[in-house]
Amino acid sequence: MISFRNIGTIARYERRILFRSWFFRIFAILTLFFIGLFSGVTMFERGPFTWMFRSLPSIVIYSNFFLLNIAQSVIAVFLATDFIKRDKKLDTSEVLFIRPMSNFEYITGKTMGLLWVFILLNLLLAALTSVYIFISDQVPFRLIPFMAYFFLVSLPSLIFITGLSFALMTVIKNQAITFIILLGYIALELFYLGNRPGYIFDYMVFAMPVPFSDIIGFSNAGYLIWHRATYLLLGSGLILFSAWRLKRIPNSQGNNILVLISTLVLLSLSVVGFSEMIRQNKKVINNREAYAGLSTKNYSVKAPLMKEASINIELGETIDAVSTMVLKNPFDETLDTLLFSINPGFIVEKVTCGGEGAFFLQDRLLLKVVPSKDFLPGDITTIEVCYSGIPDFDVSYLDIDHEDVYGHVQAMNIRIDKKYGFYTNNYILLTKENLWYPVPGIAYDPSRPAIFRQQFTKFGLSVKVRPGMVPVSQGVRQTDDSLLYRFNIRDPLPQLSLAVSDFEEKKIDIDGIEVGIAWYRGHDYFNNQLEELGDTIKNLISEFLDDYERPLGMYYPYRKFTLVEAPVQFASQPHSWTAALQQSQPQMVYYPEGGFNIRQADFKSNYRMIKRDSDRNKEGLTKKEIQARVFTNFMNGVLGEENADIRFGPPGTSSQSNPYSIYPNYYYYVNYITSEECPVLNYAFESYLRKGEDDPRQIFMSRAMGLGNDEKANLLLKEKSLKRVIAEEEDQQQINNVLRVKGSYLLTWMEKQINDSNFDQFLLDYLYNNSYKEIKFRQLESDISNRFSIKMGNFLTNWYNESDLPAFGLGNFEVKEVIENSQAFFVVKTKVTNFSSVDGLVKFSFQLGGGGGGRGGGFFMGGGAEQETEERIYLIDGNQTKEFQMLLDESPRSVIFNTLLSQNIPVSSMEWGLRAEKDENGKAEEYERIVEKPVELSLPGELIADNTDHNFEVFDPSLENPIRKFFESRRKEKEEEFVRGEFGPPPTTWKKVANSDYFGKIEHSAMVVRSGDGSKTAAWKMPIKEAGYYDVYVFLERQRGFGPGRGRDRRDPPGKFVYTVAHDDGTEKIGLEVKDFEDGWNLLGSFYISSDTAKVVLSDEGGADRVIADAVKWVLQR
Amino acid sequence: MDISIQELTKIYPNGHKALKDINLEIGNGMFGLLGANGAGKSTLMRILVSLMHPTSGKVLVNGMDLKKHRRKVRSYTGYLPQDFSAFPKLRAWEFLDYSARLAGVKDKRKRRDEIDEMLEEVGLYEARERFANNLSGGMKRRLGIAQALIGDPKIIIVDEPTTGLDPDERIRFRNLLTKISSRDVIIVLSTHIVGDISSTCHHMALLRNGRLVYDGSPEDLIDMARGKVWKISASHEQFDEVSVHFNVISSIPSVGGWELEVVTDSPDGYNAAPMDPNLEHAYVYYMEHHESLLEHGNKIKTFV
Repeated sequence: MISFRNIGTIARYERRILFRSWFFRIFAILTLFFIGLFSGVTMFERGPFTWMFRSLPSIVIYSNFFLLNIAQSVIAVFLATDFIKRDKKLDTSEVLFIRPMSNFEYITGKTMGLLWVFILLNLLLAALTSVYIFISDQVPFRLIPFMAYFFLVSLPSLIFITGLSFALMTVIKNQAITFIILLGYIALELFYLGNRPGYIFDYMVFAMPVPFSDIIGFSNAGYLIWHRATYLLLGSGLILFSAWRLKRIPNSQGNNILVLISTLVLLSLSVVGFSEMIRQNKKVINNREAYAGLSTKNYSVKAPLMKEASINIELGETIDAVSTMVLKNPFDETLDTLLFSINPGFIVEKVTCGGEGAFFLQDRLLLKVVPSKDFLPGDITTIEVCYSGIPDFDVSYLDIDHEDVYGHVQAMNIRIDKKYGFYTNNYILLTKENLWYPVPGIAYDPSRPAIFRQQFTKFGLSVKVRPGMVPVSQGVRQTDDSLLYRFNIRDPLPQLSLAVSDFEEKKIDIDGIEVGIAWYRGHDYFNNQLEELGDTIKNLISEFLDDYERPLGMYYPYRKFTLVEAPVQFASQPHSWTAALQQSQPQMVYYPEGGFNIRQADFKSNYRMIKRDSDRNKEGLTKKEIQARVFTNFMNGVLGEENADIRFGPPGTSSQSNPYSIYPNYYYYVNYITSEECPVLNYAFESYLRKGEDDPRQIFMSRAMGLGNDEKANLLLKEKSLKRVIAEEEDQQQINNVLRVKGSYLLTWMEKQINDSNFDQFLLDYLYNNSYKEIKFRQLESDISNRFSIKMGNFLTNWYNESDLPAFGLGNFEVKEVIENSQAFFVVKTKVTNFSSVDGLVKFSFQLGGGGGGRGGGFFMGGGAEQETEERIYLIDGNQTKEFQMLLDESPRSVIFNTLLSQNIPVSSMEWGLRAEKDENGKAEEYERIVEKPVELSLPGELIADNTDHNFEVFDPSLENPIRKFFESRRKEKEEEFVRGEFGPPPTTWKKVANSDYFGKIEHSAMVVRSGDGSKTAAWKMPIKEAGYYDVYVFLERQRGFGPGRGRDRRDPPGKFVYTVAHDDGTEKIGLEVKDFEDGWNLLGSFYISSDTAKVVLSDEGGADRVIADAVKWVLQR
Repeated sequence: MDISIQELTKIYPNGHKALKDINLEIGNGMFGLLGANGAGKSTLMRILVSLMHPTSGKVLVNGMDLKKHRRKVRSYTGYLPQDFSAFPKLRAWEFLDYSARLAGVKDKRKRRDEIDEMLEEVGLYEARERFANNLSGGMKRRLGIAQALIGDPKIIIVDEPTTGLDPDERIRFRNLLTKISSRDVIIVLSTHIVGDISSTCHHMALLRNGRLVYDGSPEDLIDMARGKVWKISASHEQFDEVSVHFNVISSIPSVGGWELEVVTDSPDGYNAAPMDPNLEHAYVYYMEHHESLLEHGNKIKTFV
């Protein structure tokens, strides 16, 4: 008979003992302090990077429990082992051991005591979090996430680690060894085990993403509960094991046997739990493999065209649907079997063909229908498919690696799992990826993932929902009664999506387009933030569209656009045939609930910041004006080309496009260009037409963040052709980068070849006239040839199959203001050498006029004045040097030199602060001419050694350390060749960093290392042919204070670079203060050098934040 | 209430025989277990409080086999181990409350009264709010006896309780035990300090090398030593010689020599006068001679 009284007594005093221990108190105070500080910052700082914590009620709770869980795991190990150790001090515990309690009661009491203090800590943290939530008034208070994280995350973790600690301690009997083993285990869990498939070993839910959506709660609730129950059972089993192993004679042998049996039962149940988790994970993998296998097996089956599809769907416990498709046989042969893909969770109940019952066979996601009569070439027939069931979302993205599909998105310490569709009581979201309606053919061709067939279908949709639910889909919605909704969809679409929830909606008409937003009831955090706007909002949206469409030269093709709120877990994967992501659907964009992680959706903070700037600059903006800016920023950020989501990094650095961009509505959902020779051509067009202008921000960010995507793509293309990249490259993001770069190059080349300003318009008109249908590239090429009299020849084939890249050297810019016919013109002269044997294109983009842009503030906030830009594109043959003079109407402020597809690193460089000099004799003319003399970096008498030269070397003694060597040799991941620039932490050993401001011919780079004790060095050597006095210079970049440090440190960066110059009288040490650096060559001094080899050594002493080794120049004094 | 120890043997895993075939009957009142360090006293105590299994033999408490009725017997028992120390972060009254709750004192008021009474009894009432780590050695020991006595145990087992206590504390402690022994309880007092037993126990046993060598009253043991205790007046020169030949119990310097108390059958050759033996003398005499006593059949009724 268990005495709960005894358990209670032991727990009561054990917790008192624990609670009075300074170790626990200090730990608890520190934990609460640091977590409180962190969450305080996130809740009250209100900057763009902490918005994610304030966008959803549960995120700050998740974050706090996540941090607490790690801390308490470590401390629980210590306290639990200490507990058992205390029992070994026999004389204290013996007076308790002789009491009539059972071992089970004793250990359980101890466990309860231990848990109690941690539960108290959890409660304190929950109270603190609640206070923050109430005081900050940013998110509504929700009790369920608190309970969910406590019961599902914190408590099972505690019980497990306590049980494990008890058990190990009773076996090993040495606290120090037990402690070390357990800490090692925790470290292993944090850095390795936790991330294993299915998060099976992730006892503390460190790696497993468990965001709690306000709409659907946990997306993986079933698995999570199973997982946590398993660890709870295992922990409880281990606790009982400790009771069984306790070094105390039990009250009776029977008791002990009962404890042993209970231990075995609990441990067995946990084994069952683990097995089930493994089984569930395997099942998903096996299912996906099977689905992919079926698709592969049937890829050669010819699929009909789906001209029309009318889908009638009833949403209840399960989906009951009828899809009526009008199909056409586009082939020259009769189709005897019609192949469709459908979600494998659905059971197809009936198929009719032309009104008659048809023989069909469903094998998971494949539906084969034998038409009742021959489906002849060109024939049209009607197929009706009745199906029902609950969708299996594992069928989504069969072309993407399992790990990517079931991975997570990390935003600070928060992990969000990826879900591609939902079918819950509160929310239903179905996209084409889920195959929620039958589509002809296979969903995915594993052998040729880049080959994808787009079909444009005239859809019809009717949805019957449960009471209280509202469906949102493409087309105009009508309803007869409150439950049945019909969607009239005017245009053919490549895909349909359906969201059903308790939506509230707001719609306005803007120039014939119904623009609306549908948010989950209660999630309206924005209307009162934009209340002043009133009808102005229409103008703002209209302006946004104008601004967005102007560079594209295209118009929004639909009459409807809706922003629909989706659970935070909704994610997408990039396909290899398009940049469109499933968040952006035809006519609608699914935004993450509460605007999670979209900094522009943080209306309150953005309002405050704009107001602050307005006050500071004495702009005197009204509330309405500020709200207008906030809203415009939101539109630009979320729907425009900027990366709204900080998960994907600042603009230009992300390897993924903005998932919420409406761009797919302009090309991918409207046009489709196919080519037999080059299957990725459609993607190339999609990329090119999205081009926009060269963005100074990209250059700025890429130099701060390391190599940009263009450079990464070029590095890959230097090694292999586009064809090989698509065939061999595993990193989908890299393929996307390459396709974008190559696509842009292809169209730029065509544009240059055609050399007709009407080409762009021709292309846009052509696409418009061929909307919603397949365009064969050969036809397009022929139409272009007819219109512009050019031949593409083998260009496309070479473009697809060859890998050589040009390499360009850029000369200096001269800007002159010339007057002609009393009008001022500006001419910019420069020259470019193509140092390779391959032809290539270069592009100059000038930013004209004054105002806006510029360095520093305003870069990312979307403010600033409109800038006029002007572009020039030139073709330069291999080993050719060309001189250009470009004529501009306005004074250029800066120019971006973009080498597009080349060996150049970085691909683009920017020349800031161009200043025009008056030239009274100059001619206002534009020319492009071949010259003999290539671009040279050095003048006569100058000897330059760059970090890319063979006579430059770096030395780091720590690399010789055998332990480091061992770990380096075991490192599996290929390290990036280039590290991040100023925003990144300086590396501990010499690494390359790219920056167009660095010295270089093709590659503008330098070596960088963290400041140290002087043992790491970089040395430049130069053979000297002529003895004499040499001025010795080093190439440096003025420190602009983007890196770490604040205030004075940023303006006057501390430290110096210490150079040792070798000369005839020995060596001389020279320190250059970092704050005194000037851009370009900085003089070290003059030295008499007659030896064969001149040498300059830079060491890592000097106390600068980072030490940079770029180039050294010796100039002979004449 | 009685304890019957039958054929009790304990052999440690390293082969050391700590107890050999112990047979002992213990009734109500104070029972003293005397023996040198390492004689097996603590082992026997630990077996009695079910902290240790015997290798063979059994212990019956009121006829109940300890092995089978451990929970029941534990509910009767209070125990003060040799080096008792309480949890440093518990107050004196809290530790007693902890013990009382586990001892089964359910009623809160009763428990509180009993704790207060016990604290008064052991002289710790003023220190009731002090943490154990702030108590002096004597106070800790008193707290130890208090926790052993709390819950009105029927069997109280105290192992070397007076070691390290100052004389006042020791006397106080003995008096406390004597007082409690007047109730219907068994107090088993294990000690190597003879004085503890002589002043408190009516029944005692002697352990030597794991064997029970005497079981009887202290008076009988003293009687066996009657006529065997002598006071010898020895010169300085004789001191060493006497020390070699006899068990010297005490040696007091006197004018021109020493006054020595010795235990021997006959102090031939020395200036000796007979003395009345006390338990200490008897213990020494008995431990010295019990083998020969056995050999000569000089066995008394209680001798095992």
